Amino acid sequence: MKKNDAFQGYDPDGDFCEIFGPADGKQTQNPLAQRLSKYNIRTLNQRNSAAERELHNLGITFTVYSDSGAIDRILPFDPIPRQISQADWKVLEKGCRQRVMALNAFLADVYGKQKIFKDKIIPKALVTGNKNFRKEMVGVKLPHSTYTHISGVDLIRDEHGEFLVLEDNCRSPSGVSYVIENRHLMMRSFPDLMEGVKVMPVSDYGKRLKATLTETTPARYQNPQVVLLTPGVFNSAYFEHVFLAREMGVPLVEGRDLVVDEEDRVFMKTISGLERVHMIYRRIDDAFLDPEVFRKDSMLGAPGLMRSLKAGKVAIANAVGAGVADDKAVYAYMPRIIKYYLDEDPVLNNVETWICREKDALAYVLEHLEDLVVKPVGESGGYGIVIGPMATKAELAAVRRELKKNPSNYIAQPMIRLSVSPTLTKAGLRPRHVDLRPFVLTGEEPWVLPGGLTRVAMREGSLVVNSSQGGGSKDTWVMR
Amino acid sequence: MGDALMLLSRFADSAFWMGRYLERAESLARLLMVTESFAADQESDEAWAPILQVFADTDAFSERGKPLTALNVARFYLADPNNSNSVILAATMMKENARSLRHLLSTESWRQVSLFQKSVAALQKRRFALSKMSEICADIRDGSCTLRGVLDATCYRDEVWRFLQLGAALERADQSTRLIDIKYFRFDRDDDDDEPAPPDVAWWNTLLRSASGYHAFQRRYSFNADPADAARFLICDKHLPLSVTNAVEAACEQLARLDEDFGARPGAAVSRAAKALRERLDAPPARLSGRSLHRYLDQIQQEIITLANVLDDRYFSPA
Repeated sequence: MKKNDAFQGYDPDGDFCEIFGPADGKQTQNPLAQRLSKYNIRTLNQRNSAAERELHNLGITFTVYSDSGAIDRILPFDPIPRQISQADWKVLEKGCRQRVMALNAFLADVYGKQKIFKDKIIPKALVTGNKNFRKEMVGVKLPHSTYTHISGVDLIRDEHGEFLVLEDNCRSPSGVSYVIENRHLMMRSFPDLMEGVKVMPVSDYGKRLKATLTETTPARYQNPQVVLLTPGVFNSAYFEHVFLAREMGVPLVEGRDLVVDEEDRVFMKTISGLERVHMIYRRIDDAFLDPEVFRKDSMLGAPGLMRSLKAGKVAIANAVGAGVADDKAVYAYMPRIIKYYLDEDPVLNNVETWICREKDALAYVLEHLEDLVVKPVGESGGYGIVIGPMATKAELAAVRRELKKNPSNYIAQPMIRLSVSPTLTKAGLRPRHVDLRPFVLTGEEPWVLPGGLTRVAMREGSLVVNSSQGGGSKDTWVMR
Repeated sequence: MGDALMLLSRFADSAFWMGRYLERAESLARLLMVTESFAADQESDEAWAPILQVFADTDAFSERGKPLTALNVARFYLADPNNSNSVILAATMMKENARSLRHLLSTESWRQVSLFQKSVAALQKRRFALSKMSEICADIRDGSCTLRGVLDATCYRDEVWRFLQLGAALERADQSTRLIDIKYFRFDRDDDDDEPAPPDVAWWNTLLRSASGYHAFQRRYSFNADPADAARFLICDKHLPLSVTNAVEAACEQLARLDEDFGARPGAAVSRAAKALRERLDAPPARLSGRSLHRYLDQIQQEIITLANVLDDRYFSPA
């Protein structure tokens, strides 16, 4: 590889690079790299600033809550796309489909016959004692036995270039709006970078989502009325709710717009009176969905939704209780779960995981705390994670105490050197760590949106890509 | 009926108020322009007191403990976020209503909503001199007109659009009565037998200009026009965008479209209130000046409030 201007000083330093491959591997000619080399870094930065301003004006923002109130922020955008070869994508697609099929089979079993407990594949207590298990769902039949209609599979790539599953998301995974808006932004602001490149399209996600939701509505309802249930304008993901409602052409309702009558039917309040609702794509947690059954103080849901669901008069996506499958405690068992339901080996491996509720594992974790990443189960969004190699002595001592007090609440994983992707900085293109969240829709069959959300840790050396902690995103190109 | 998109009552409410607040921001800017240019002739702060009275804000203003100067009153109406009649609050409320409607607006609209609100919000940090007032107000008016243009050019003509236009039209009707009333509020005191001197031709010309109606008025009334003609023009003309009658007709047109195109029947109470308002506008008093004009404007405002209330019962707050 000839180091040119834009790549002057670019050094992955032993990490796997999404454009140039493994550090010690054979360097191949990459058309995108060749094209990028012709750009002036200052111009690229100026154009990127203009593109980010436009994101602000278009309101493609998320809200961060801090002590000083709510602030609308854009997800920092990096104009250098992350590329995935068609060969790699074939594997990823197959692996994501397999994973989500297993998750759905697992959920159908857990809320059905519970064979997996009888066969002693996973401890029953770990599942039914999980805070995301909903006993109210046991015995409830769902169309196509689909529980996680919209799933996000969080992947990382290690130093050898192997994709590994870091986490499953079965509770309203967010970020898909950025996948599509990032593509639009690339086409608007950097058409020259895209010119002549064959990239798989992402723009029909809304249509696919609506078809998925329609398919999973009880079959007797022809032309079902689908709605998207949002907590409201103050939710950090409100833009995404707007985006999805718009793409599907369905009403963006709040709990206060819905009523359930004595016959367990759900209606929305329109200017022409009450109109029937058949499918609710909800972006609020189980706990807030129905004050008759869950949190009584919830103002976000509507009383009676669970009655209606059980009567088969409304469908809810994702299913109530689907969160039990994406818990970090269940994650550790996923390879066995895939084998059990599909009789296949996992296409995508887990990151090696120690389940701290197991005695030997706990001993190992306490011994190697400074080398491991410790994660609380039942949390999401990167909250509560302690990265051993980067933690202070006080942080390590605190997590050690916690581990001893409440081991079941934690898992631990080795520190993985996430792959890097060239990212625009003031100094030029620099390697920054990335992950990947493909989105999987499941009606009758799973479908994977080509690519997914590539999140990038914008700070040098940082491995935390979460938007709530300063991560940005890139367009993700699956090459044809 | 076949076109009905089943709009939620909450969205109808948001669209209606988005329209009202957008119009309010612009009307306030026009009102401040009139006052400023009139005050500039008088070289006295007295000219600013009537605004406070027209909006019944005298107490709210004095609570702020600031002397009644032109600059303070102007700031109060432009950039005081706690004043419910300020441009800055109107722009913010307009945006908040638009926010809950966002998925039903064109993306171009939301972009312009944000840009407009941002430009108005910047006033709060700005130190401005009275000499800059008309420039600032003209910028606000132009920003609002731009936004209305973008809405007009890009929004789908569904129920959302109808409620947005309905709100804007009703607010325009209401604000136009206040614009005229600014010289007549003083007739409110019934014990005052002596009618003060009526405003002169220069004042009416200023008013006509601020309502973008000066040249049209010259064409229609040619020479010998007197102030009562100007009042008649601003209230009853069917072709002047900012006239009260034109705004009320626009509102009624939206109600008809909601009924005919979307099956959202206004119902008896709304139809009755709309009819009463139209009849009032069809029958102005013989003398359109002095106390009789003030009383007439007051009656129109009451009819508008009644209509807004029954609209709320019918569309926005279903039982």
